Amino acid sequence: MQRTEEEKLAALSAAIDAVNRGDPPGGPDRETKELAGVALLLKQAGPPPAVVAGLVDTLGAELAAKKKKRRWLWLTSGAAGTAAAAMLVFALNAGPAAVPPPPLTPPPAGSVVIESVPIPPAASLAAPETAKADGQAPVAENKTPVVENKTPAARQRAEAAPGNGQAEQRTMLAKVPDKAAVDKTPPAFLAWPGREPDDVTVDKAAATVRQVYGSGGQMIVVTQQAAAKTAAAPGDAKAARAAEAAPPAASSKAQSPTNRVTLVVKGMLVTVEGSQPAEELEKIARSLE
Amino acid sequence: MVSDEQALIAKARDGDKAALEALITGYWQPVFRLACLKTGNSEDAQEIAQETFLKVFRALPGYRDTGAAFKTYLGRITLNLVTDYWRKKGRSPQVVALADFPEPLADPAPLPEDSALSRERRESIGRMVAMLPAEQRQTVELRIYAALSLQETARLMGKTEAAVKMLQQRALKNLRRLFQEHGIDR
Repeated sequence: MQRTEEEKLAALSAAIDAVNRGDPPGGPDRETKELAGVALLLKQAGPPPAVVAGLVDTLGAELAAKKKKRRWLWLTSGAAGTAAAAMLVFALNAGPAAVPPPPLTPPPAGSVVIESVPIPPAASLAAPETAKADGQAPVAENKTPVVENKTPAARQRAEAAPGNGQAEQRTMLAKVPDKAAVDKTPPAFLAWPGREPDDVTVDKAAATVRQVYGSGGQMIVVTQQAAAKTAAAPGDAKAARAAEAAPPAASSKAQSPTNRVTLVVKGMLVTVEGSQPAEELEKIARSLE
Repeated sequence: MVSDEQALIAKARDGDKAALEALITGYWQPVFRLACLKTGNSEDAQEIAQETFLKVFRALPGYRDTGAAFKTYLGRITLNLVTDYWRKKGRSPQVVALADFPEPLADPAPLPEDSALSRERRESIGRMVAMLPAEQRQTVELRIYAALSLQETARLMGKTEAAVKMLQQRALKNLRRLFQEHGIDR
């Protein structure tokens, strides 16, 4: 009897293992089969229904909320993108009407701005390339000035010269002034009446103006500088004559003048260089206006 | 089967309760079994199983089918929670490696959703199991719900195999009587 009970226990244990393996419930006797059937029923019932129901309710609510949130984010992001695109289109098309800029006349060669400035009779102009004697055609208007520092300021009105009292209408050519040009006033200078310079160089750093008249053996180079910047004593017609044989180092032409005369004329330290005699050069210097 | 599982997962991701219930019921036993094996305590194993499902399904919107079975994913989460369980207890966790469990959630038994048991019937059965004495109930949980072997159940319960055999027989006889009283049969 004892042995039979142990065999039943062993048979039931084997039947439970079979159920766990997925085999149909069985056993050597009827009771073992019934108990194996109960085990299968428990197996099929699965986990405690209350636990599963709690999990399902909790997770179902959370996941549904997440889905709703995902959908809402998707919709809002799409709507936001559409609205942003619409606003962009509106801003581009329906914004304040752009006022067309005033038509600009294309600047002439050399980007120069031409303006006519009536000059009082007592004043003289400084721009030598545009300074013209009375009755002369404005030849230099189309000439591009050679400027060493490449920041030519406007050719501006020169210091008043006590000249001959004639009222002159001079045309001033000026580059469009840049900031540096505005900050630093270009030097005023004198011109040789009746002659047009072939080359004018303005050195703003040294406040000097160098004019070249003619070429070859007849070339005259007039260099002027404000007298205050030099050591020369102020005073009209005070001669500081110096006839030098050595040519100036800054000559831009192939042929260099051989003589040089330096005078203070109308407050300007004027140096005239050329192959002519010193007396002729001095005469030229004194004739500058 | 895999396509059905993927369909269920897709539905569960959107909060479909039927799909959630099918997946939880289908995978409860292997998860619970693994947790029982690693904790040695059916009550703690049940909590770990619940936490496993909560964690897995909360992360379901970001779940990507990488070819690994959903069952393997569940097994990894279960083992992570078992490690946390031992860490909280201030004890060194048992060496847990998936390599030791190539199929940690293997359970060849038919899935509950395949059975014809209604939810009410399953609830009745659950209530009857809860009416069993504690040791008998634990034996049922470990031997049948968790599908542990006789040796594993004896080790976890700290009893001899003969004692477990006796407990499982008494438990099943009591349940058979309760089923008959409530009109539950196969």
